[in-house]
Amino acid sequence: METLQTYLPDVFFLILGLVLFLYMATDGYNLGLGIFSLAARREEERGVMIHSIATTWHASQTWLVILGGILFGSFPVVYGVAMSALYVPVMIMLAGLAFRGVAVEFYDESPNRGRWGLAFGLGSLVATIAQGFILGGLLSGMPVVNGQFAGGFGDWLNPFSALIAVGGAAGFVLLGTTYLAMKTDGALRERSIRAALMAAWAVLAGLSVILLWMSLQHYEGRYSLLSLRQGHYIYLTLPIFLFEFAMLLRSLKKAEDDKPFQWSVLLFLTLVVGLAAALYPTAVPPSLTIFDAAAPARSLWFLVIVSAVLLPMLLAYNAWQYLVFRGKAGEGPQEGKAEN
Amino acid sequence: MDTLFDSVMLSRLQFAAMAMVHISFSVITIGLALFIAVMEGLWLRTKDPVYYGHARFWSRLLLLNFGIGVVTGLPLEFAFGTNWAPFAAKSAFFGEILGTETLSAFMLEAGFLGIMIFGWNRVPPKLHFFATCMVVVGSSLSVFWIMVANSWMQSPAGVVLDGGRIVLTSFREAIFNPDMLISTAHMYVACLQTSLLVIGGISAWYVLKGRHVGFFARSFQVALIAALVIAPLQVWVGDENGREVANLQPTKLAAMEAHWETNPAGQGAAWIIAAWPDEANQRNHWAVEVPYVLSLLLTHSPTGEVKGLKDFPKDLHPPILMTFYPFRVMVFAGFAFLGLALWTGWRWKKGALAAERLPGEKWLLYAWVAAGPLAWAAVEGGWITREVGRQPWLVYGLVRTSEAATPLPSGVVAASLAGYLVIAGLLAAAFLVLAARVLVQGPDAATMAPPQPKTAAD
Repeated sequence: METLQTYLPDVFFLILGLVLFLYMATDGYNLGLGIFSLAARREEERGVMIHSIATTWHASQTWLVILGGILFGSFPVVYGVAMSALYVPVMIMLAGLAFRGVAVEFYDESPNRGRWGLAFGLGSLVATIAQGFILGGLLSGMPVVNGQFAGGFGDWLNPFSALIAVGGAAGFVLLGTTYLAMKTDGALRERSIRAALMAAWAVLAGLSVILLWMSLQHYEGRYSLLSLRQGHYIYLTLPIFLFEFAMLLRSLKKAEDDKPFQWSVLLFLTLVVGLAAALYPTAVPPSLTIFDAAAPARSLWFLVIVSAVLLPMLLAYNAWQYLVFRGKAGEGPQEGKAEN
Repeated sequence: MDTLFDSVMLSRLQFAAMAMVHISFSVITIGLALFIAVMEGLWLRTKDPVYYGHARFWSRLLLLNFGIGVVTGLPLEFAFGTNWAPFAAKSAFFGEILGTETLSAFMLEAGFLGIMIFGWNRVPPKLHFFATCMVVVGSSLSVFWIMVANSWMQSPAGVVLDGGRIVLTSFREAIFNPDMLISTAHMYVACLQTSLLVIGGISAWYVLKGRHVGFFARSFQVALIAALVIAPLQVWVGDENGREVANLQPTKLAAMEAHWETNPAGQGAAWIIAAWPDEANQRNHWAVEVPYVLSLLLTHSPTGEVKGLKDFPKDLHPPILMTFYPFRVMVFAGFAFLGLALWTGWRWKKGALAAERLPGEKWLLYAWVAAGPLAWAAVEGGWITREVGRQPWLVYGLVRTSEAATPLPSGVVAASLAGYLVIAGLLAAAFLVLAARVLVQGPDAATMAPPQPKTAAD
C-alpha cells in the first residue's frame, strides 16, 4: 500500500488526461459543429445539425463537469491556482456554454428558431475560443507562491494562447464537420467534407506555428513547454500525428462515412498523449508538480476507488446511448420510427 | 471591510446569485423526473394510454428545464476554483465529494436523458423505463452528494485543522456528519414538494381553463395523493432540522429567531412572528411574539433554555435580517402547503375531485396555481437562511468566509456578476416564455399515443 500510495498522483494524472481527451473528442465535435452551423445556408440545414447532437450534448458537456470535479478532488491546489488565474476566460467560456446548451433545448420549442440557432453557433464559438485561451494560459506558465496564484489576472491573454485558441477552434471544427459527414447525407455532407479538408490543413498549419513559436522561445532562453524536463517528448508524437493526418486526408478524399471522424478523434488522442508526456510530472508549468499539488493520500484513495468503479460504467452507458442513436440524423429530433 | 463593493462581498453575492438561479431549476428536474418515472411505470403496468400521455407531455417541460439547469449548474462547480481558490486548495474533503458527485450522479442523468427524451421509438418500453429510472437515480444522487458537501460545511466532522490546512481523519464521519441525514431529507422532500405543487398547479390551470379536463384531473389526483404524505412529512422533517440547527449552530438559530437574550431559568423563550431587529444595538425595535413557543419547539419544554445571540461575540453573529425573514417565508409556506393538502384531501373525501366535478372547485384550483411560485419562494428562503445563517463561517467553526475568497480585483468580480445576472435573467425569461408556450399548446396528439408493438405485417 505504501508504495502504491506514492503513485496515486500519477494515476490521477492519467485519469485526468483520459477525461480531457473524452471531453475534447465529444464536446469538441459538438462545439465544432456549432461553429460550422454559423455557415449554414438554410435554417433547415442548421436544424439538422442541432438535431444531430440533441441526444448527446448533455453527456459531452458532462465530461467537462467530471474533469473539473476530479481535478478539484485530486489536485485541489491546481484547481484553485488555475481557476483563479483563468478567471476571465473561464467566465467567458461558461457564458458561451450556457447559450450553446440552452439553445439546443429551446430550438424546437421556439417560434424564433433563427435566433436560437444563432445563439447556438455564437455560444459554441465563444466557448471554443475561451477554452483555447484556458489551455494556452495554463501552458504559458503561472507563478505560484504558497499554493496561490501570484501572477496577473490578464496573463492568459498572450500571443501563444491566442495561437492555441485559433488552432483549437480549427481542431474542433474538424471534429464537428467530420461528425456531420458521418451523420448527414446529400449537399450538407459534401459541404462538411470540403470544410473538414480546410479545417484539417488549418490544424496542421496552426500546430506548426505553435511548435515553431515554442522552439524559438526555448532557443532564446525564455520559458516554453519545451523547457520542461520532458518537454521535447512532444516531438516524439509527431510521426504518429503525421501518419494519422495523412490517413485523415485520404479518407476525406474518398468521402468515407465514419473514417474521417475516427481519424480526427485519433489526432486529438495523439495530441493529448503528447501534451501529457511533455508536461509530466508538471501540473501547472513551470514548476508546480502533481506531487506538490495532490490532495492528501486518504482523500486520493477514496476518489481513486470511486473513479475505478464508475468510469468503466460511464463509458459503457455512454456507448449504449451512442449505439441507440447511431445512423443518419433526420430533419426532426432523432425520434426514429416505430419500426426501428 | 464588509462593504458592499469589496471583492469578498461581490464573490459572495455572485455565488448566491448562481446558487439561487440553479436551485430553482434543479429542484424541478428532480421531482419531475420522478413523477415521469411513476407515470411511465403506471403505463407499463396498466397499459392505460393516459399515463403514457403524461410521461410524454411532462418530458417536454423536463427537457426545457434540464437544459437550463445544466448550464446554470456548471458555473457553481467552477466558482469554487475561480472565487474561492484558498478554500479549494486547503480542502481535503469537499473536492472529493464534488468529484464523486460528477462521476456518480451527473453522468447518470446526462447519459440516459437522451434515451429518456428521444428514445421512445428506438428502444423497447422496458428498456426505456430503465433509462428514465436512471435519470431519476442520477438526479436523486446529486441531491445526496451536494447535501453531503454542504452539510459538512455546516457541521464539519471527520477532519482536523492542521496549520491552516484541513486534514481528513475519517471519510465516514465526514460524510455522515451530524447535519447530513436530516438536511438531505429536508432538501429531498423539498424537491418533491416543489415539483408536486408545480405539477398540481399546472394541472389545476388546465382544469380551470376547461382544457383536457379528464387528462389533467389524473395528474392532479396523483399530485394530491403525494401531497397528503409530503406536506406533513416536510413540516415534521423541518422541525427536526430546526432542532439540529439549535444543537449544531446556535448562532444561526438565534439569528433565525431574532433571539437576543438567553431566557432566564424558569421563563420560556417566545417565538417571534415578525420583528424589526437592530443589529447595532442588539435588540428588536418591535416584535410580535407568542410566549413559550420557541422553548417548546426546540426543547419540548415550555421553559427550556434557548441561547440568545448576546451570549456570542459580536463578530460571530450572522446577518440577522437576511436570516430571520427568509426563514419565516419558508415556515409560513410550509404550513400553507399543509393547509392546502388538508383542504384538498377534505374535498377529495367529499368526492369533489372526480373529473366531472373538479372544474367546479374554483378556489381550490386557484390556490394550487398560486402554490407553485410559493414553493419556489420557500426553497430560496430556506437556502438563504441556511447559508447566510452560517456566516461569518464558510466551514462552521473552521474556515471564515473572508479568508477563503480569491483576492480578485473587485472590478473583475463586479463585471462577472453583472454579466451573470444579465445572461441568467435573459435565459430564465426565455425559459418562462417557452414553457408558457408549451403549456398553451398543451398535450399534442402526435406523441400522446403509445407506440404500437411490432406485428408480423410490418
